Amino acid sequence: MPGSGPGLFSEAEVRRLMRIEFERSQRYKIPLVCFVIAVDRMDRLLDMYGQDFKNDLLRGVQSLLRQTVRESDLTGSVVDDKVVVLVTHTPPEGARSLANRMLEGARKLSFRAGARTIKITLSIGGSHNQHGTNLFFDTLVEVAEGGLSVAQGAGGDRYVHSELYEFFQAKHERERRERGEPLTEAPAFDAPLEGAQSASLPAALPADPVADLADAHRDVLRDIVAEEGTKALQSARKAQEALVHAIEDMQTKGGDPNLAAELESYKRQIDVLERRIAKLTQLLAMTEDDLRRLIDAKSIDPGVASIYKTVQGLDDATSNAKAKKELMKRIFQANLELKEQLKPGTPG
Amino acid sequence: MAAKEAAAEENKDHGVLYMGIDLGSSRTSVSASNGVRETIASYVGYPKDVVARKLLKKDVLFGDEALEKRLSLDFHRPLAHGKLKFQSAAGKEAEDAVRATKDLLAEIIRRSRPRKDELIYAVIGVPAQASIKNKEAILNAARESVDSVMLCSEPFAVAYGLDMLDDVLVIDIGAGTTDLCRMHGTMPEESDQITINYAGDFIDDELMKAFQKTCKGAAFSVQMVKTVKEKYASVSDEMERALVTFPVSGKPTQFDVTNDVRNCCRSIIKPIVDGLQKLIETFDPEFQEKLRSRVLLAGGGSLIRGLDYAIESYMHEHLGGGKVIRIEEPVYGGANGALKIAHDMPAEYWEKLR
Ligand SMILES: Nc1ncnc2c1ncn2[C@@H]1O[C@H](COP(=O)(O)OP(=O)(O)OP(=O)(O)O)[C@@H](O)[C@H]1O
Ligand SMILES: [Mg+2]
Repeated sequence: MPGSGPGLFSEAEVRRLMRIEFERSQRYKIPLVCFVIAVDRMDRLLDMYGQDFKNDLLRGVQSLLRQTVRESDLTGSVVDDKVVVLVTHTPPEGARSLANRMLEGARKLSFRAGARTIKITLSIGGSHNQHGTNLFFDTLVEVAEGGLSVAQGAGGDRYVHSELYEFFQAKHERERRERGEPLTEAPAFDAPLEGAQSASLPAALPADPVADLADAHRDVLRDIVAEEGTKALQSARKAQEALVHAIEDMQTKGGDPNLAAELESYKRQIDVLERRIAKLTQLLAMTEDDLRRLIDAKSIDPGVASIYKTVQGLDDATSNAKAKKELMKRIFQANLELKEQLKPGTPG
Repeated sequence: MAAKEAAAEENKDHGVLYMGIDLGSSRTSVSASNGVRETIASYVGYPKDVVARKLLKKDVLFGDEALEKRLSLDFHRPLAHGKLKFQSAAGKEAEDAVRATKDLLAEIIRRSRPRKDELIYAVIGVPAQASIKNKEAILNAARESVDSVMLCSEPFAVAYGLDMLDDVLVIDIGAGTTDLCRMHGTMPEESDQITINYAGDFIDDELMKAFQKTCKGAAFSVQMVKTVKEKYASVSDEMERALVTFPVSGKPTQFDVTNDVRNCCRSIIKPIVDGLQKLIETFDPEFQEKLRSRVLLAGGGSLIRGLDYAIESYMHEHLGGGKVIRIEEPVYGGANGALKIAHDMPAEYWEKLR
């Protein structure tokens, strides 16, 4: 897999290779899937065992990939501790079984950290290029990332296949437009936003979803912000559209001073709207932080105390105490045997 | 982990919480020494995709809620079908079952509301014929939330809970299986247990077939049939009339299914008594009479009205006598028994299994 060996290609180069691979697949209509793979609890592992161990893990995941997927179909790189890969010649239906094989393979891996043997699990998000719309490479990756965050949120060790293409596509088109980049594959102006209004919008709003926040609160909040954001976005879009018309008009009619003033006003309006969106997004992040703190403090159910302060055991005065003691011993022995049998390393 | 143990030793000297858990294919119940009792249907579901997750606002759903939303979920009944799922299923399915079992167990433990500063000792009643893989999954899952855990066979737990250790036959009618277990003062062995598939799900299937004839043209699901069963289940000649309403071409229509309900509920009597007969006739002749007159009826299926009496009559006809007692709390019978075992277990045993 190009880029997998450290130092072989820079991250940017691999990214470029992936882009090329993606574009080639698009051109020749080759089915392709994208996986974003993360090692569960990587943060903790990194804290406990350090950077080298982390690199071991990532290398392990990459070699697992190479065992699972035909080398020639694979391009990938490591980005922010996640492995991002494209697998060509794979239809959407094939993605799940491939991902499951990786999950399965990962469970069998073990890593050494000093005297310890560490087992890992993976979370995988996936996307594909067989969706109807024109697709950007970034969209493909982001959709898969969306899947990954759901997989991680659900406790890891699983694969989540995501279908949120319209939303991310709309977002990228907007970004490109802002940067003044060509929208070559882009359809008519307003079309993408319709998609963005659907229920799928909120899941992707914040760049970094707070994974362990209670979902209910987060989603309610996100709904509110997303709704506001969508409204703001829509008016921004309308203004922008008008702006484009104005420019076109100006070009055909020549420099009308009134139009120039109007143009200025549109620009200001857009400015305001964009700032509003930025603010809303920031607000969301802040509120999520607050909420998390709140929930952390609150959601710890103190529990209900047991009526016993000490370990009990049979009282000799109980009926059948002798027989019961014997039974307890038998149950214990059976469990001890079971424990021996299940000891790691002993074949079940 | 060493850290975890150290923490446990440091902090957990404020109390001991015992937990009895009955992990059934249909219901999972817990009964704990803090007085909490909880039961959930053994269903686990994971949102199918991002949109479903957003709408459901949860990463995993349990029990009736999972059942209700099952169309948007990867839906599991991890212990279904005679609990041999782990063994018989292929790789992927088996893994899913392991994960769902794990999540289900963690949930029932959470619902028993343990305190962080207490030692938690749990006994889990598992089906007598649970596979080793099954047990491994259960143990692994439990260890994440409790300090020490033991497994024991479900019917044994039921009998122990009622202090009936000597010469008793337990009939545990669950969803997937009916477990028959002979108790004689020591731990039941392989030869003391018989498992048959004539249980709740079997009755549901039979009812489904019967309703298709009785309720011509009506649309209904297994779930609806099960609900009807749980409402009217009876084997008595004089039972309440079972009137149900199903849509026929979209129009609600009433049907009388009294006879179907009675007949289908009766269909498990003979196989159960046949099983009892085997356990009785292979027992020490001197104690056969005693065994026959101490039959305990437990599990969700024991809620079928008149079933204790019907089994008893059938035993009189075919085995020359018998006495059947229905346990008082079919839902918590297994969990209560497991709790009692936990309580009676000496400290050193718990320590050794930590
Ligand atoms: N009122 C009722 N009348 C008849 N049957 C009932 C009633 N309530 C529950 N059941 C049936 O009892 C069965 C579930 O019993 P139980 O909860 O003991 O099963 P379980 O222990 O989870 O299953 P298993 O022992 O097979 O693992 C289901 O088939 C259910 O439909
Ligand atoms: Mg049961």
